[in-house]
Amino acid sequence: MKRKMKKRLMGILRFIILALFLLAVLAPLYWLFITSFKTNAEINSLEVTYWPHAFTLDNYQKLFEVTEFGVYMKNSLIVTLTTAVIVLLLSISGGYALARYEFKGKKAVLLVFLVSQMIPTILLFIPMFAIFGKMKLNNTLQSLIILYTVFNTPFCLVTLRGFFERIPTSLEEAAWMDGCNKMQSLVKVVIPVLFPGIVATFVFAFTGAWNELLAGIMFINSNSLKTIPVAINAFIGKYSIDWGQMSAACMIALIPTVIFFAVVQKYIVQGLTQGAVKE
Amino acid sequence: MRKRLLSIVVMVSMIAVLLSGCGNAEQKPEEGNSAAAESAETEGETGADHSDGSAADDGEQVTIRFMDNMASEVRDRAYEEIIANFEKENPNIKIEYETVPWDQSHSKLVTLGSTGTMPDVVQVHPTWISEFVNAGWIVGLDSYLENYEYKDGFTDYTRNVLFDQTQRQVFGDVYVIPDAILTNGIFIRTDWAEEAGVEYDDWTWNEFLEAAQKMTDKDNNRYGIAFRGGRAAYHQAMFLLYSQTGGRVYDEEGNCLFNSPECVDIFTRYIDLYKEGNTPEDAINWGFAEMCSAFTSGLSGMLNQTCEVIEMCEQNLSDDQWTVAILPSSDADGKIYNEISFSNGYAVAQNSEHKEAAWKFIEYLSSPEAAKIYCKTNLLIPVQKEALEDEFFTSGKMAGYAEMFKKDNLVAWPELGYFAEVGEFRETFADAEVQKCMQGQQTPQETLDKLAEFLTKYQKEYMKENPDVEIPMPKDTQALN
Amino acid sequence: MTVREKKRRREAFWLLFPTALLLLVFIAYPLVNTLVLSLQEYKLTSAGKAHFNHFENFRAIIEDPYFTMILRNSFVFTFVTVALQFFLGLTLALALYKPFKGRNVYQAVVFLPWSISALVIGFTFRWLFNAEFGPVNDIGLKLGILQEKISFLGNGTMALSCVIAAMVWYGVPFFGIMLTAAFQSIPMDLYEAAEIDGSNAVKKFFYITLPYAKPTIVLTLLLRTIWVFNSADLIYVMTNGGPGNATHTLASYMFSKAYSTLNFGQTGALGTMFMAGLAIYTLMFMKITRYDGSGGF
Repeated sequence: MKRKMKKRLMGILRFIILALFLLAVLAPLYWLFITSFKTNAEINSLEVTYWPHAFTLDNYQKLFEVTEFGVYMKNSLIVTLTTAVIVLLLSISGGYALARYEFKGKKAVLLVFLVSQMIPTILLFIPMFAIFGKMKLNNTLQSLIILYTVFNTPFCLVTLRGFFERIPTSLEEAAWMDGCNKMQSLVKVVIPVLFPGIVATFVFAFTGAWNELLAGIMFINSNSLKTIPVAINAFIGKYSIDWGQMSAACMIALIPTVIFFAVVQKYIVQGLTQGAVKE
Repeated sequence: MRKRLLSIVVMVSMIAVLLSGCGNAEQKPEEGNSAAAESAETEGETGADHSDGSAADDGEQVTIRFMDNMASEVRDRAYEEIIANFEKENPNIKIEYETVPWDQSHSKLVTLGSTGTMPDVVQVHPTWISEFVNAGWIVGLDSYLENYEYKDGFTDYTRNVLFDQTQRQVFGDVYVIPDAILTNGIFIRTDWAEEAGVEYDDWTWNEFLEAAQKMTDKDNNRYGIAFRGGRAAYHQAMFLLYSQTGGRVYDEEGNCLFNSPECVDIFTRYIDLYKEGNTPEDAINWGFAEMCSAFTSGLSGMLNQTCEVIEMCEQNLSDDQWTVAILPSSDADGKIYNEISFSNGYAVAQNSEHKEAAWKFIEYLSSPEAAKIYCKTNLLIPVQKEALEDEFFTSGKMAGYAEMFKKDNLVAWPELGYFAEVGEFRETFADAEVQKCMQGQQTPQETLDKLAEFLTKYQKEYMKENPDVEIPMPKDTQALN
Repeated sequence: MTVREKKRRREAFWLLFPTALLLLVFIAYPLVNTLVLSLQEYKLTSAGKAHFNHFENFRAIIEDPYFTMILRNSFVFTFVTVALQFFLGLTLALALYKPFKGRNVYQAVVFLPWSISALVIGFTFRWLFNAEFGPVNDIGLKLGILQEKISFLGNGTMALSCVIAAMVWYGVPFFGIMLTAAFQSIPMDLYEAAEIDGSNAVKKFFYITLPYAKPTIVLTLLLRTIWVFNSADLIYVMTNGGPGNATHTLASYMFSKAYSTLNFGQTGALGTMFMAGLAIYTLMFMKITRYDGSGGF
């Protein structure tokens, strides 16, 4: 009886916590959402409104008529997906090596990864410019893909290493006994077990590339190669911020992420609950 | 299920790689172009500056990169029209139009400059000229300017002050061709002024400060002035300081004059406007955008700003609610000290491989025809006489600014100096000191002492290294029109 | 060395090689460049005239009257932000642990802040906290929580709290995702065994969940600290370090100094100093948490 009560109390507490989180997350997003449907006059007025008085779709219409938002979207998707996949491949192989092999200098490798995260971005840009200049990659999407891969790989790799280490070696050994080679055992046994971690890493690399702005501004010159964050930032003018269009652009930019998160979330929580592995 | 996701991931990535491959193919012609041009440059480097331009004359296709520093929809519209006209007249020159938002433009240009990858035609803000010239990132244009069709069409102010006094006499050449003139006026709520009994014809700065107090009505959520306390807070105070120093920054020895008793007095009263609540407390964080919305939304009654703000006022206020008043004059000598500079000039990058073609584009940008398009869309004052005569600039709200140029007591104040540290003063140092003063962490006297100390130190160093360059002096504007 | 060992080492080498190469090219060069810059009188506008200047850059930084305040700000900003992000992220992950109807949608929504670029978040929060036009003040007044308008960004301490609030909003999803993923890979049978032993929820949390998720927790905490310490954009946008430099951290101060002075010698020195600081922190943190890189957990 007491146990049941406690369980119920816990359930209510959990509900409250979840509701509070949702509220905190949605409040600023809601603000952007309603702003995207307001007229400029309403946005600039002293009266704060929580639902548009004069509901308008102008901001969205202008977004696609005046700017090449579709092109930016395509650029962002190319850069982000390519980056995320490359990061994932590098992290799986590197993370596996760090977890499963003993060799000299392993500690040093780990340290290098950590140090790579410490360099202030402002000091990265000029040397990187020089490198890309030599590689003839200035003003290309490839330069962004390389950059974002460099930014995001260290964390993903080290995270995955942590996940690999938790899998008992016996699992793989069993697979080898069954005649699998290393590659097969990795793909067939280890990766499925690690799926939540892998997906989480993928999400990390995805967002890392999706919302990056400064490098996007610095390394891309042509309007036709701009990414979404750069395009959104362009609504912040010298004299005024075009809030209406900026919010509209943010809302549109959120759509792919919502879809992506919705698809991928499932795999993060699915995890071992399905009992894919029993030792 | 997982297998399916994996295969989706793999598929998507393959598509992405394919797509990015396509992107690459699109750019190939350009890359080839620049590679060819590079070899041309190495040959051309030994020759004269202009030899590389032959390509444009031979009818060979040349692509010129042009970057706008203040990306906005309105500016885009103007430039796209100008570029289309130019390309029609010069079929062998293609303009690749790039934009960067104002907030990041300086850092981006500096990065491009230091790595030798600037666009062919660079926009240069007046405050960056000495930086870019000293670094050798932009080239002298006098030799080109000599043969320019409209060289005599520039207004006298442009030729005497913006070319001669601020460039030739300092750097020995003209590096930047002004796009349009930019100057300040006081945007004022006529209805509030009437209620409060404020007169704004031929007024002085003291009267301005009093007006700010009179127009404040906190109970009705009205404040006298849109106070700038955030980014570039120091700049608004400069108007008052110059009015007390006769438009000078330094005495003959290079000592900054901004901490004189007269300056301290007027600066104290200016800061008091904030401390005594003639502007909202939040104004300590206001930059350009916040100031303007304070005025257009009916929070503040006065705003010291440049002409581009007119458009925003027209959208949000009705015509009988506001006007642009001429800047107040000095209580000390009756002169109007104003900042009269350009908005964003054009220069040719040192690393450009097609300098001749780049100049050709600047020639067109500076022509009366292009100036009219540019200035009308952006509400700026043209630098070409012919364009200035257009009715657009002599009537309506723009006329207030034109009116000011007719005043014989108008004086343009000088730059703070030609040394590189001016950038630090503007961007970080001065604002922090002014903000500390607004918060009462230091007195106005201490604040101005610190500002003066900073400027004096670097001006004296500069004078030692450049004994031939005159100290910055107020500019003669008698011959503005 | 046996043939087998050799082969294994070669395998490890090739698995790590692409990443190592990438980092070597794109990180090692800027790193060395930073160190060299820090010892030089180097202005971007006169790069040709660069010369070594006997630690002059470091002296200038330490003598900067704002240095101590900015250093303190950096610590406060980093510590409070990371702590809040972590505890809220942990709470979220725990609340999400057991399945419920609509959990997928809920997660997709709750993790959204993370996918918006920091600049947009900065501008939005600046607007939310604006005393005249912002909804926070407006709602506060309407509900009677506030007696009069408050200038949230107009005073140093409050402005820093606002930046932290934005930063926390931004970063909670990161911990949420990482910890959720870590919790989800804990084998169920461990819990089942514990239940048979009669352990309660608290015990299970401390004896199973936490130890099992420890590597992830340690790593995310460590890296998050480095990132937050390094992040300048939200501060730059929301307060530009003001009023009166009261909200500058080392990272944002460096950012605004670098491009206003173009003195990359000093910027390099500042960068070197704070990399050294972070390295010391990292070593200490790894020692205390026994995350020593040899896989002892």
